[in-house]
Amino acid sequence: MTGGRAALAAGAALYAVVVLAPLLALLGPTVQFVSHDPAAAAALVFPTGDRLRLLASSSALAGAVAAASGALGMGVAAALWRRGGRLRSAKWLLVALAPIPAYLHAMAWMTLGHRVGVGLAGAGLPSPGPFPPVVTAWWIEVMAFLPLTAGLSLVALSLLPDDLVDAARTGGPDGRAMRRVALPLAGPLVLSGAALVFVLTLLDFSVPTLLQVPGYALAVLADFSARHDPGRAVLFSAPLMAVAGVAGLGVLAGWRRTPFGSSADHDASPLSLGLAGRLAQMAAVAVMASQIAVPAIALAAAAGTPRRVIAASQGAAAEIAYSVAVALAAAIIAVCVAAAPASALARSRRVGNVWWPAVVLPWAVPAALVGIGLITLWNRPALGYLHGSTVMPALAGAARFTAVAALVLLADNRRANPALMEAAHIHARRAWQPWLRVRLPLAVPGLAAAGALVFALTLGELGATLMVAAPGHGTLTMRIFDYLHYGSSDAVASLGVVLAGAAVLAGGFAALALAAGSRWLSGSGS
Amino acid sequence: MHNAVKSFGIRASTLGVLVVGAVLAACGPAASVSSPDGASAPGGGATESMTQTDTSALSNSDAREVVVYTSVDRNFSEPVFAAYEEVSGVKVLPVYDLEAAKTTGLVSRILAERPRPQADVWWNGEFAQTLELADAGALATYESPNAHGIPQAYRDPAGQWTGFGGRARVILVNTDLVAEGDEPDSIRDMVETPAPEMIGIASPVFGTAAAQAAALYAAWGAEEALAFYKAIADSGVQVLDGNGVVRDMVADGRLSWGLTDTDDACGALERGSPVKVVFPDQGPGEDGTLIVPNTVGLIDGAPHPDEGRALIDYLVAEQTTADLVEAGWFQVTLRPISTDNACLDAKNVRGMSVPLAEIGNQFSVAAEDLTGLFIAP
Repeated sequence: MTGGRAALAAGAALYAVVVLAPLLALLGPTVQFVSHDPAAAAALVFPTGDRLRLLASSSALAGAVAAASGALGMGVAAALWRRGGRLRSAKWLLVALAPIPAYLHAMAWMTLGHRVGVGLAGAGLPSPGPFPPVVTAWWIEVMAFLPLTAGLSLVALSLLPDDLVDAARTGGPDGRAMRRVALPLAGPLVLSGAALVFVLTLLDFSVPTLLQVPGYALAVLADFSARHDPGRAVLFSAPLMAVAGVAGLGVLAGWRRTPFGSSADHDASPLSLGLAGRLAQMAAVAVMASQIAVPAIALAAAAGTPRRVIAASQGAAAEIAYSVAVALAAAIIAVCVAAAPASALARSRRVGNVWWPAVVLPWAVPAALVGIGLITLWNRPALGYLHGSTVMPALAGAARFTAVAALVLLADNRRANPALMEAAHIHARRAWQPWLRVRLPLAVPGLAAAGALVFALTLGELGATLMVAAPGHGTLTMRIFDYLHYGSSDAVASLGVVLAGAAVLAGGFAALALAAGSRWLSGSGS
Repeated sequence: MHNAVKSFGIRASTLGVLVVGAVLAACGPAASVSSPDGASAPGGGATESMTQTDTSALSNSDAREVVVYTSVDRNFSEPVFAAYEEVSGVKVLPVYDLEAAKTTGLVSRILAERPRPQADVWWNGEFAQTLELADAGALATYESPNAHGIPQAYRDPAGQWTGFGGRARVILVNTDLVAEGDEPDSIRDMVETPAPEMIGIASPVFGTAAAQAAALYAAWGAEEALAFYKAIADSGVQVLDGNGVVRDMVADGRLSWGLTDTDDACGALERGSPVKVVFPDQGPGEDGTLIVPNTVGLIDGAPHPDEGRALIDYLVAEQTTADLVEAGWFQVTLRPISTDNACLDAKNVRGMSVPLAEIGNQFSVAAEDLTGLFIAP
């Protein structure tokens, strides 16, 4: 075996241990359930009647959310694409907004709706609401996931080969270049972002529950809550996982089909779209602004003065420190572990096809089951120091979000210019020089983006973390949901501000890493 | 694909192996949970006697800590743990459940950890999940001497758990929207009202609302209870995401009244909301309301069984019950205990007469029916 193959095998083994093994650990109780009651197992795996209708309605809601957030995200991305100055930094604001839990968006929009209704009634005017719960749930989910689709669409546009776009602009108006070149080329990646939102919406139970919208993910939880049988829960959620898995394959397909350019951040003039295009962009940006403003105003109003935010932060200092440590560790682990699948997916279609299911599977499994799998895997005498330690929540974050990091690194791998590395190999005196001076600086943006994304997602993780949190320790998200239960809206708002602040810091770190990488690259290249 | 790109990924994988190893090695155990394997005997069958402040059995133990999994709201349980740490010198390492996890959290965790338990004590804010853990063999036998005076109906005959004070299901009424004298006085009023959209209950599939559903199944029979919930589902009564949401919507005036727990009701009263609390079904011949006792049990195979028993002794002691009444977590004491600052006077409230074990037997039956009715209609 060559050194390269041995290293890839080691990476694959690492991915198997960190990401796949907790999921495969669920096979034991599943097989046990199937062997004990095959008929019941078959009935769970192949839903009929009410359960089938519920799966269909949940998929329809997820599809509607994915379509709307995908379209709006593309509009926002088109408005930010090729913009210099401060607008270039706006993409990191999207990273900061991504981890704010959908539950907080729901609270903010419902509060707004209630106050508007009261205000209109007070003025003797008719209230536009109440809207049907499914419409409210759809809107809140769109708002919650809009930063994600906008961010991924911006990535898709930023990675387009500039020469192709500029060549298209010479042959006609910018609007046509956008329609005929940019959108078709970025389309697969944009659609993959929408598919990712479809999966996340399908698996989310918090917003539908709050709004009394029946959902399959909640039905899984209800059944698990009543029976506490992980094998049955796996089979119950199998149809959900199948739908999510198909969408996950769509995510990967989009990622693989997008033609990536060799540069994303150099100065380029923005496309000037026609009136309709500008109006569409403005509408999307207006929605994005409301996505930011409504929770921000609601959080600020509920949190009160900065002193109260500071006081709430001091009260939750231990949770904040623990959350940051966990999210940081998860980001480090995920970025390292994601290197192997990212590399494998970038290889031949044959190798990539082997890896696809392994990368898709983690997205399709409900969080609580990931937690059960982690306990089953790690709670063993020989590994006694792990379970019950602070490492476990980091492993939970890595298990759930390494696949996301793999996609970011895959995109980064594909946009790397091979000529740079080949030239570096020819001119280097020592073997390590091309890696240290060329490849590492080239990789820094991707690593930073992947790490920041996993950091942010882990900050907001709840379902798996609750199952494996070390006794005596809790995360900031756990604390927020704790306060939510008490109806302590000022404390929730204060800690929501802290959570968003931590995510902003992660985005800022990623931006600094990007800048440093660019400077390093410039120095090496000179 | 480009060789350079591929090999970078490969080398990064190797680096990943090293970094992950370093991270795992660097993060030591947060709680030095000693392995119960081999040396520590499971608690089953051990009935011991310790008084509330008798922690002498702990003095020779190296492990001066106890791990407790609790579904009791953190703002009520955390001060109890802090007080116990002060009294005993034993470090309490809690894991709190969250309503957002829909009770799939800690019970599932305890069951998943059964081969090698991490927790010593399970302190539950209700009883149904405790009965489930006892049925699964996850709880050891321990009858605390401090449980004297607690009626046998609230103690496991096998000694696997002890009930020790708790809450009751109540109707919370918004006094701005419901005139005095027009308040509902029975849960059956939910299906006999002209404005059902102004009434709310928590989803009867989760938490204490699920326990109440199981109690109605046990008291009325499955057919009548299911018909009652079908009537609720058909009438337009709002089925909400927890008792706290019911409380907030009644307090805000978005609901005229709703069914919730006494601790939630007290929260609204303490905040000065325009609300009134009604204990339902207290008339002659009526069922009474569901009393939801807290329950506590020792985990079978607990890593720190002595510390676990000592903590249970502390929790079920009369003084702790009095403290929890004053804190607002308990409104029902189960035994005569003089307290101050009780939010509600529940001394004369009549509870349902159905034994907890029978309610426990109906729990999964009711959950399956009501999941079909409310979650997957």
